[in-house]
Amino acid sequence: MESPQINNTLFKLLIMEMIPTIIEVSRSHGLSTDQVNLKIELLGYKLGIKLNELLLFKLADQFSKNNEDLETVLDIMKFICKDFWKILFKKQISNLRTNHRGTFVLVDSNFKPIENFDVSRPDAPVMISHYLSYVNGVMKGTLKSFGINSVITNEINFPSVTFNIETDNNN
Amino acid sequence: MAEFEDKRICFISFISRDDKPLYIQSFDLDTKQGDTINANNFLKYNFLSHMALDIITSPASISIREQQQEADVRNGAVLLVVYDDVSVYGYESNTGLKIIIGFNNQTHLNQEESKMVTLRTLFLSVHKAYVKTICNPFLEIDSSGDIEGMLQNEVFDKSIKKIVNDWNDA
Repeated sequence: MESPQINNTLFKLLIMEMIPTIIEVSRSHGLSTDQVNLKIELLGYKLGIKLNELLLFKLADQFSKNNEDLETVLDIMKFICKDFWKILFKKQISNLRTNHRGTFVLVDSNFKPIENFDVSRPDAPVMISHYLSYVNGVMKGTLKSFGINSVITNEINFPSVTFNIETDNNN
Repeated sequence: MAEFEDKRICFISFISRDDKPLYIQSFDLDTKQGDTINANNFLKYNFLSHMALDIITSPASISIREQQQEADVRNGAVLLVVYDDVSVYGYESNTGLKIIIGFNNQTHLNQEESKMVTLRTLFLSVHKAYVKTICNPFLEIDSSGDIEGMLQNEVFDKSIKKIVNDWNDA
Protein backbone atom coordinates (compact mmCIF):
# COMPACT_ATOMS: atom_id res chain seq x y z
CA MET A 1 0.00 0.00 0.00
CA GLU A 2 1.23 3.46 -0.84
CA SER A 3 2.00 5.55 2.21
CA PRO A 4 -0.29 8.54 2.79
CA GLN A 5 1.37 11.78 1.76
CA ILE A 6 0.39 15.34 1.34
CA ASN A 7 1.90 17.00 -1.66
CA ASN A 8 4.45 18.95 0.32
CA THR A 9 5.01 21.85 -2.02
CA LEU A 10 1.29 22.47 -2.29
CA PHE A 11 0.87 22.29 1.46
CA LYS A 12 3.66 24.81 1.94
CA LEU A 13 2.25 27.15 -0.70
CA LEU A 14 -1.21 26.86 0.81
CA ILE A 15 0.07 27.91 4.23
CA MET A 16 2.08 30.72 2.65
CA GLU A 17 -1.06 32.09 1.01
CA MET A 18 -3.54 31.30 3.71
CA ILE A 19 -1.87 32.97 6.67
CA PRO A 20 -1.32 36.41 5.08
CA THR A 21 -4.93 36.30 3.87
CA ILE A 22 -6.23 35.53 7.35
CA ILE A 23 -4.08 38.33 8.79
CA GLU A 24 -5.29 40.82 6.21
CA VAL A 25 -8.97 39.96 6.65
CA SER A 26 -8.74 39.87 10.45
CA ARG A 27 -6.90 43.20 10.60
CA SER A 28 -9.60 44.83 8.50
CA HIS A 29 -12.05 43.66 11.19
CA GLY A 30 -9.82 45.24 13.82
CA LEU A 31 -8.58 42.07 15.54
CA SER A 32 -5.38 42.14 17.62
CA THR A 33 -2.32 39.97 16.95
CA ASP A 34 -3.35 37.53 19.67
CA GLN A 35 -6.86 37.19 18.30
CA VAL A 36 -5.45 36.52 14.84
CA ASN A 37 -3.19 33.84 16.27
CA LEU A 38 -6.15 32.20 17.97
CA LYS A 39 -8.04 32.12 14.68
CA ILE A 40 -5.09 30.56 12.87
CA GLU A 41 -4.59 28.07 15.67
CA LEU A 42 -8.21 26.95 15.49
CA LEU A 43 -7.79 26.22 11.78
CA GLY A 44 -4.75 24.07 12.49
CA TYR A 45 -6.57 22.39 15.36
CA LYS A 46 -9.32 21.19 13.08
CA LEU A 47 -6.79 19.90 10.58
CA GLY A 48 -4.96 18.08 13.36
CA ILE A 49 -8.05 16.18 14.50
CA LYS A 50 -8.98 15.11 10.98
CA LEU A 51 -5.46 14.28 9.88
CA ASN A 52 -4.86 12.15 12.94
CA GLU A 53 -7.97 10.05 12.39
CA LEU A 54 -6.96 9.49 8.80
CA LEU A 55 -3.33 8.78 9.53
CA LEU A 56 -4.02 6.26 12.26
CA PHE A 57 -6.49 4.50 10.03
CA LYS A 58 -3.94 4.26 7.25
CA LEU A 59 -1.12 3.23 9.56
CA ALA A 60 -3.19 0.81 11.64
CA ASP A 61 -1.61 -2.18 9.92
CA GLN A 62 1.87 -0.92 10.63
CA PHE A 63 1.15 -0.52 14.34
CA SER A 64 -0.47 -3.89 14.80
CA LYS A 65 2.32 -5.55 12.83
CA ASN A 66 5.09 -4.15 15.02
CA ASN A 67 2.97 -4.68 18.10
CA GLU A 68 3.29 -1.00 18.82
CA ASP A 69 0.69 0.58 21.00
CA LEU A 70 0.05 4.26 21.40
CA GLU A 71 -0.72 3.95 25.07
CA THR A 72 1.48 6.41 26.92
CA VAL A 73 1.84 10.09 26.17
CA LEU A 74 5.50 9.43 25.36
CA ASP A 75 4.48 6.91 22.68
CA ILE A 76 2.14 9.49 21.23
CA MET A 77 4.85 12.15 21.24
CA LYS A 78 7.19 9.78 19.43
CA PHE A 79 4.46 9.18 16.89
CA ILE A 80 4.14 12.95 16.37
CA CYS A 81 7.90 13.40 16.07
CA LYS A 82 8.30 10.60 13.57
CA ASP A 83 5.23 9.77 11.51
CA PHE A 84 3.24 12.94 11.88
CA TRP A 85 6.09 15.37 11.22
CA LYS A 86 7.13 13.33 8.21
CA ILE A 87 3.69 13.69 6.68
CA LEU A 88 3.63 17.45 7.27
CA PHE A 89 7.22 18.46 6.61
CA LYS A 90 9.00 15.45 5.10
CA LYS A 91 11.38 15.24 8.01
CA GLN A 92 11.45 14.09 11.60
CA ILE A 93 11.70 16.28 14.69
CA SER A 94 15.39 16.76 15.51
CA ASN A 95 15.16 16.28 19.24
CA LEU A 96 12.59 15.21 21.82
CA ARG A 97 13.03 15.71 25.55
CA THR A 98 10.68 15.14 28.45
CA ASN A 99 10.67 15.57 32.21
CA HIS A 100 8.38 12.50 32.50
CA ARG A 101 5.79 14.69 34.22
CA GLY A 102 3.77 15.68 31.19
CA THR A 103 6.08 18.33 29.75
CA PHE A 104 7.72 17.68 26.41
CA VAL A 105 10.23 19.74 24.48
CA LEU A 106 10.40 19.20 20.73
CA VAL A 107 13.19 20.84 18.78
CA ASP A 108 13.11 21.17 15.01
CA SER A 109 16.51 22.51 14.00
CA ASN A 110 15.36 23.56 10.57
CA PHE A 111 11.68 24.38 10.70
CA LYS A 112 10.39 24.24 7.13
CA PRO A 113 7.53 26.81 7.15
CA ILE A 114 9.87 29.62 8.20
CA GLU A 115 13.08 28.62 6.41
CA ASN A 116 12.68 31.31 3.72
CA PHE A 117 12.02 34.14 6.14
CA ASP A 118 13.96 37.38 6.09
CA VAL A 119 14.73 37.65 9.80
CA SER A 120 16.29 41.09 9.47
CA ARG A 121 12.86 42.63 8.97
CA PRO A 122 11.49 44.30 12.09
CA ASP A 123 8.12 42.54 11.85
CA ALA A 124 9.69 39.08 11.45
CA PRO A 125 8.99 37.84 15.02
CA VAL A 126 5.30 38.69 14.74
CA MET A 127 5.01 37.05 11.32
CA ILE A 128 6.80 33.94 12.52
CA SER A 129 4.42 33.71 15.46
CA HIS A 130 1.48 33.60 13.05
CA TYR A 131 2.96 30.70 11.14
CA LEU A 132 3.85 28.85 14.32
CA SER A 133 0.29 29.25 15.59
CA TYR A 134 -0.90 27.11 12.74
CA VAL A 135 1.51 24.29 13.49
CA ASN A 136 0.79 24.58 17.23
CA GLY A 137 -2.88 24.22 16.39
CA VAL A 138 -2.24 21.11 14.31
CA MET A 139 -0.34 19.55 17.21
CA LYS A 140 -3.03 20.51 19.71
CA GLY A 141 -5.67 18.95 17.49
CA THR A 142 -3.66 15.77 17.14
CA LEU A 143 -3.16 15.49 20.89
CA LYS A 144 -6.84 16.27 21.47
CA SER A 145 -7.77 13.44 19.18
CA PHE A 146 -5.72 11.18 21.48
CA GLY A 147 -7.67 12.64 24.42
CA ILE A 148 -4.88 14.89 25.68
CA ASN A 149 -5.31 18.60 26.36
CA SER A 150 -2.19 20.65 25.88
CA VAL A 151 -0.66 24.10 26.05
CA ILE A 152 2.09 24.85 23.54
CA THR A 153 4.60 27.69 23.64
CA ASN A 154 7.47 28.34 21.26
CA GLU A 155 11.03 29.57 21.39
CA ILE A 156 12.49 30.76 18.13
CA ASN A 157 16.17 30.60 17.45
CA PHE A 158 16.14 30.95 13.70
CA PRO A 159 15.98 28.57 11.83
CA SER A 160 15.53 26.30 14.81
CA VAL A 161 12.20 26.25 16.64
CA THR A 162 11.43 24.78 20.03
CA PHE A 163 7.95 23.61 20.97
CA ASN A 164 7.27 23.40 24.69
CA ILE A 165 4.25 21.18 25.14
CA GLU A 166 2.58 20.91 28.51
CA THR A 167 0.00 18.17 28.72
CA ASP A 168 -2.58 17.51 31.40
CA ASN A 169 -1.73 13.83 31.42
CA ASN A 170 1.38 12.48 33.07
CA ASN A 171 1.51 8.77 32.44
CA MET B 1 -14.47 -17.47 10.83
CA ALA B 2 -17.37 -19.78 10.08
CA GLU B 3 -19.24 -18.64 13.14
CA PHE B 4 -19.85 -15.12 11.81
CA GLU B 5 -21.12 -15.95 8.43
CA ASP B 6 -24.65 -16.90 9.26
CA LYS B 7 -25.29 -13.85 11.37
CA ARG B 8 -27.10 -10.72 10.38
CA ILE B 9 -26.16 -7.31 11.68
CA CYS B 10 -28.81 -5.76 13.89
CA PHE B 11 -27.05 -2.62 15.07
CA ILE B 12 -23.88 -0.59 14.72
CA SER B 13 -22.83 2.03 17.23
CA PHE B 14 -19.89 4.38 17.65
CA ILE B 15 -18.56 5.49 21.02
CA SER B 16 -15.97 8.19 21.56
CA ARG B 17 -12.70 8.02 23.45
CA ASP B 18 -14.31 9.53 26.53
CA ASP B 19 -17.15 6.99 26.40
CA LYS B 20 -19.73 9.28 24.92
CA PRO B 21 -22.15 7.64 22.48
CA LEU B 22 -21.66 9.26 19.07
CA TYR B 23 -23.99 7.39 16.80
CA ILE B 24 -26.25 4.35 16.63
CA GLN B 25 -28.16 2.83 13.74
CA SER B 26 -30.26 -0.32 13.92
CA PHE B 27 -31.29 -2.67 11.14
CA ASP B 28 -33.65 -5.50 10.41
CA LEU B 29 -36.47 -3.97 12.36
CA ASP B 30 -39.58 -5.75 11.18
CA THR B 31 -41.90 -3.28 9.49
CA LYS B 32 -44.92 -5.52 10.06
CA GLN B 33 -44.53 -5.23 13.78
CA GLY B 34 -45.89 -2.25 15.64
CA ASP B 35 -43.90 0.85 16.40
CA THR B 36 -43.67 0.01 20.08
CA ILE B 37 -41.91 -3.29 19.40
CA ASN B 38 -39.46 -1.59 17.09
CA ALA B 39 -38.88 1.14 19.62
CA ASN B 40 -38.26 -1.49 22.27
CA ASN B 41 -35.77 -3.27 20.05
CA PHE B 42 -33.99 -0.04 19.33
CA LEU B 43 -33.82 0.63 23.05
CA LYS B 44 -32.47 -2.87 23.61
CA TYR B 45 -29.69 -2.23 21.10
CA ASN B 46 -28.86 1.00 22.89
CA PHE B 47 -28.57 -0.88 26.17
CA LEU B 48 -26.50 -3.60 24.55
CA SER B 49 -23.99 -1.13 23.18
CA HIS B 50 -23.66 0.35 26.67
CA MET B 51 -23.20 -3.11 28.15
CA ALA B 52 -20.49 -3.77 25.61
CA LEU B 53 -18.83 -0.53 26.63
CA ASP B 54 -18.80 -1.63 30.28
CA ILE B 55 -16.94 -4.73 29.23
CA ILE B 56 -14.45 -2.83 27.09
CA THR B 57 -13.57 -0.47 29.93
CA SER B 58 -13.53 -3.02 32.75
CA PRO B 59 -10.12 -4.40 33.75
CA ALA B 60 -11.45 -7.94 33.37
CA SER B 61 -11.69 -7.38 29.63
CA ILE B 62 -7.93 -7.30 29.19
CA SER B 63 -7.70 -11.03 29.78
CA ILE B 64 -10.68 -11.71 27.52
CA ARG B 65 -9.03 -9.72 24.79
CA GLU B 66 -5.70 -11.42 25.21
CA GLN B 67 -7.29 -14.85 24.95
CA GLN B 68 -9.19 -13.97 21.83
CA GLN B 69 -6.39 -12.08 20.18
CA GLU B 70 -4.00 -14.96 20.57
CA ALA B 71 -6.38 -17.03 18.51
CA ASP B 72 -6.28 -14.57 15.66
CA VAL B 73 -3.70 -11.81 15.93
CA ARG B 74 -4.72 -9.89 12.84
CA ASN B 75 -8.31 -9.74 13.89
CA GLY B 76 -8.85 -6.57 15.90
CA ALA B 77 -12.43 -7.41 16.81
CA VAL B 78 -13.42 -9.10 20.04
CA LEU B 79 -16.60 -10.84 21.14
CA LEU B 80 -17.80 -8.87 24.15
CA VAL B 81 -21.17 -10.16 25.18
CA VAL B 82 -23.94 -12.50 24.05
CA TYR B 83 -27.34 -11.53 25.36
CA ASP B 84 -30.88 -12.28 24.25
CA ASP B 85 -29.81 -13.86 20.94
CA VAL B 86 -27.58 -10.93 20.05
CA SER B 87 -23.81 -11.31 19.94
CA VAL B 88 -21.97 -8.05 20.35
CA TYR B 89 -18.52 -7.53 18.88
CA GLY B 90 -16.29 -4.57 19.59
CA TYR B 91 -13.27 -2.94 18.01
CA GLU B 92 -11.15 -0.10 19.33
CA SER B 93 -9.08 2.18 17.10
CA ASN B 94 -5.79 3.81 18.04
CA THR B 95 -7.60 7.09 18.67
CA GLY B 96 -9.85 5.40 21.22
CA LEU B 97 -12.91 5.27 18.99
CA LYS B 98 -14.99 2.20 19.77
CA ILE B 99 -17.08 0.57 17.10
CA ILE B 100 -19.66 -1.90 18.34
CA ILE B 101 -21.61 -4.23 16.09
CA GLY B 102 -24.41 -6.52 17.19
CA PHE B 103 -25.32 -9.66 15.25
CA ASN B 104 -28.43 -11.70 15.75
CA ASN B 105 -28.27 -15.43 15.36
CA GLN B 106 -30.74 -15.84 12.52
CA THR B 107 -29.37 -17.98 9.77
CA HIS B 108 -29.52 -16.56 6.30
CA LEU B 109 -29.07 -17.93 2.84
CA ASN B 110 -26.10 -18.08 0.47
CA GLN B 111 -23.49 -18.83 3.07
CA GLU B 112 -20.95 -19.77 0.41
CA GLU B 113 -20.50 -16.26 -0.93
CA SER B 114 -20.32 -14.58 2.42
CA LYS B 115 -17.23 -16.56 3.32
CA MET B 116 -15.29 -13.92 1.41
CA VAL B 117 -16.14 -11.28 3.94
CA THR B 118 -14.53 -11.63 7.31
CA LEU B 119 -15.38 -9.79 10.46
CA ARG B 120 -12.13 -7.86 10.23
CA THR B 121 -12.92 -6.36 6.84
CA LEU B 122 -16.41 -5.50 8.06
CA PHE B 123 -15.00 -3.46 10.94
CA LEU B 124 -12.45 -1.88 8.64
CA SER B 125 -15.07 -0.75 6.16
CA VAL B 126 -17.20 0.69 8.95
CA HIS B 127 -14.16 2.50 10.32
CA LYS B 128 -13.36 3.77 6.84
CA ALA B 129 -16.84 5.24 6.48
CA TYR B 130 -16.26 7.04 9.78
CA VAL B 131 -12.86 8.42 8.70
CA LYS B 132 -14.34 9.57 5.39
CA THR B 133 -17.02 11.52 7.22
CA ILE B 134 -14.57 13.06 9.69
CA CYS B 135 -12.30 14.19 6.85
CA ASN B 136 -15.10 15.79 4.87
CA PRO B 137 -13.92 19.42 4.59
CA PHE B 138 -17.49 20.68 4.39
CA LEU B 139 -18.35 19.39 7.84
CA GLU B 140 -17.22 21.55 10.75
CA ILE B 141 -15.66 20.24 13.92
CA ASP B 142 -16.79 22.51 16.73
CA SER B 143 -14.05 24.24 18.68
CA SER B 144 -14.21 21.85 21.65
CA GLY B 145 -13.16 19.02 19.34
CA ASP B 146 -16.55 17.35 19.57
CA ILE B 147 -17.30 15.20 16.56
CA GLU B 148 -20.74 13.93 17.50
CA GLY B 149 -22.53 16.47 15.33
CA MET B 150 -20.50 15.49 12.28
CA LEU B 151 -21.91 11.98 12.22
CA GLN B 152 -25.57 13.01 12.19
CA ASN B 153 -25.96 13.34 8.45
CA GLU B 154 -27.63 11.48 5.66
CA VAL B 155 -24.50 10.53 3.75
CA PHE B 156 -23.00 8.76 6.76
CA ASP B 157 -26.33 7.01 7.45
CA LYS B 158 -26.38 5.77 3.87
CA SER B 159 -22.79 4.57 3.79
CA ILE B 160 -23.31 2.57 7.00
CA LYS B 161 -26.58 1.18 5.64
CA LYS B 162 -24.84 0.08 2.46
CA ILE B 163 -22.11 -1.79 4.33
CA VAL B 164 -24.73 -3.58 6.43
CA ASN B 165 -26.91 -4.46 3.46
CA ASP B 166 -23.92 -5.85 1.60
CA TRP B 167 -23.13 -8.01 4.61
CA ASN B 168 -26.66 -9.13 5.35
CA ASP B 169 -27.46 -9.95 1.73
CA ALA B 170 -24.19 -11.65 0.94
